[in-house]
Amino acid sequence: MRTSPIHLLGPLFDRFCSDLHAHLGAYADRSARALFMARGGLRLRLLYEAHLNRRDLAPAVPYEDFYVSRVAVAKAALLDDFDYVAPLIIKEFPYQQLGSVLQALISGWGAETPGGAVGAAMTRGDFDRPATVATLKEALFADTAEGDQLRDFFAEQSRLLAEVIRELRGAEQADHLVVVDTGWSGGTQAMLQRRFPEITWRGLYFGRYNYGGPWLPHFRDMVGIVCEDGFTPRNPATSFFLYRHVVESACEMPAQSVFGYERTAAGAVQPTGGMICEDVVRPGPDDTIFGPVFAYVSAATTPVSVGDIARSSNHAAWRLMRALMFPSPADVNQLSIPPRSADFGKDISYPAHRTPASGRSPATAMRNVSLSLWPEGQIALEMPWLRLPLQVLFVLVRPHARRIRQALSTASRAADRIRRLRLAAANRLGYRRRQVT
Amino acid sequence: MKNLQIIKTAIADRAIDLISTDVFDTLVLRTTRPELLRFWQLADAVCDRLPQNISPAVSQTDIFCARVLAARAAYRNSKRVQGCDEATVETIHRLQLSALGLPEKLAGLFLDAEIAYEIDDLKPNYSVISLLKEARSAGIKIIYASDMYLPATIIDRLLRSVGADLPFDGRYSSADTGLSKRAGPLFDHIAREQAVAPSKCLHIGDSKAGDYDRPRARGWQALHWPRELTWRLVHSARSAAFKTSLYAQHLAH
Repeated sequence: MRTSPIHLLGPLFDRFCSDLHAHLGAYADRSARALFMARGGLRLRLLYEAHLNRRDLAPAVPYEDFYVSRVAVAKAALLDDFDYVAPLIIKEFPYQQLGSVLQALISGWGAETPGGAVGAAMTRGDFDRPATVATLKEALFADTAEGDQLRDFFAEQSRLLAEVIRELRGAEQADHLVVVDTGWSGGTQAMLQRRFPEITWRGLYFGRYNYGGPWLPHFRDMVGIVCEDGFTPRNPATSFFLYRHVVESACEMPAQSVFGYERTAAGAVQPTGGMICEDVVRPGPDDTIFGPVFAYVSAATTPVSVGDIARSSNHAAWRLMRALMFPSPADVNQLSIPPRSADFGKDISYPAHRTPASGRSPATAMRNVSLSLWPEGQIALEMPWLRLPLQVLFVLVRPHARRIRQALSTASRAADRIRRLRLAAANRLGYRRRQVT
Repeated sequence: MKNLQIIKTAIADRAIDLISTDVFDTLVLRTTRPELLRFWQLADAVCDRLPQNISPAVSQTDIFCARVLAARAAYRNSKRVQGCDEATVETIHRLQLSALGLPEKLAGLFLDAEIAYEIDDLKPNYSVISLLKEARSAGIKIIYASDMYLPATIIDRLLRSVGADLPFDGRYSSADTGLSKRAGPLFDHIAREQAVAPSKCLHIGDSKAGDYDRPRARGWQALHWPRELTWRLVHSARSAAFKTSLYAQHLAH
């Protein structure tokens, strides 16, 4: 009998917890703390606690929740590390006006115009120019009231983040901070490493991946516990890279992302939008992915010995790879996830799959496949009767996608050139004929 | 034979002041058992030594899986020294015991089993030993350098047990220094500590990267001394066969 793919995730998350415990144990001889990074990391922390509880183990090192995000660290590090952080911010807001970017950084995407000199300048249209590193630098370091306000804002964010980290390091001011999160390229960790070089930052992630890009220097300080550096059929756990959104979605919770920091009336520092209630971290009735995962990890019947945990997870990994490479429409429905939100505080979401419209053309179906976050799954929805040969074809083609795209582009350019040459030749021939007649 | 002749000529010409040798698969030779198979058999040996009523009960599979996990965790999260990520057997055993839920006081039992297993797996390489003896009698310093989680004290014990003990002028293990050959800084450390110019040092070993490319990049002379082709073929075949058996048991992916 074929186990539904949703029930294959439990053993793999349980293996993650078991391995995480071992990896954290390596820091037990140092002054270290584990920091589970909001939001996804909070659910990993919940799983880790359930795993330790089931196996009657004590945590390897002290741990805390770390309310942080890429945008929060980018804001805090912008003034001190402008040349590194500014391009990252600009890359997140392509084709935007500088005013929109500043508004998004200060008040949140789509929020009201901030007050003070910056708000007045926005209303006047002073920031109505394309957002580039140069224009951002110009605005940020301008000797004007707006410039002062912007610098004050980002400097305050920097101070608040430093305070958060000082508190997280505890009384002994731990010099090793080990961040734990779902993944993938460790952008937040890289910025933290640069902003706080006096601390040794290490990262333990569910997966490590640069989205097909090159190996990054800070990857040396990151471990992808379950999978690393792209899909290879020899290691079935890496099949998560075919549809990594299922991992992110499992750990996503209905809570606001950390957008920055603010000081409360009592003088404490807290994330903008407040802390996340533990009831939100725990799976709710609508958590169709995280619910079964949490149930598996916390169940008393789940294996407790390290050998059985490895065996269960390896078995599940092989079957999950098959389900992710060659899914049936039923598998796709089981693993369907809500639309994914864009990163960096942007109010944009993107559906994982498109429901095929009746009477669609093959071109539309192909476009849906190419736009899908899980193309193999979209193939199953678009062409259920032909899905297997097409999925096999897709698996064969996927590793060469870049080269095929390049070849098609070259062929298209060559065809275009031949067409132009033929046209030119025909024109010349016509001209001569006209001359003869 | 060609390697031997090159080194003998260098000794005779006094072109070198120090000979450094790799230990495993150079000074002492392993059987064709691949690493994972050694871990598997070692797990069996540990299992036999554990008290019958140990709690929680652990199987050979548990000990093996914990070892593979502990080694990965120890290396990937080690304290970085001059860009080197090296681990020690103490850390590996501590993590292994933690993964098994066993008390740390059993670390000694695990270490004894490991040493006994290593002694059984090793035999001396007489070509290298006689070469080093010849160099020593010619007044050339001899040392060993190993990228290994075992400290030099234990490596010495292994060498003594298999009859490969020599009057070394220096003993270097990555487990002690935190520096490695494969990253390179161990060679700088050795030359500095032995007060010998890198160009007058010669290193021999079986690894192309760690025993040949790295020392040469740091100004040393080096000779690549790999295991013979038949050994490598049998070793690869056994490694593939054992991995297949692990796949079949869902113990590897």
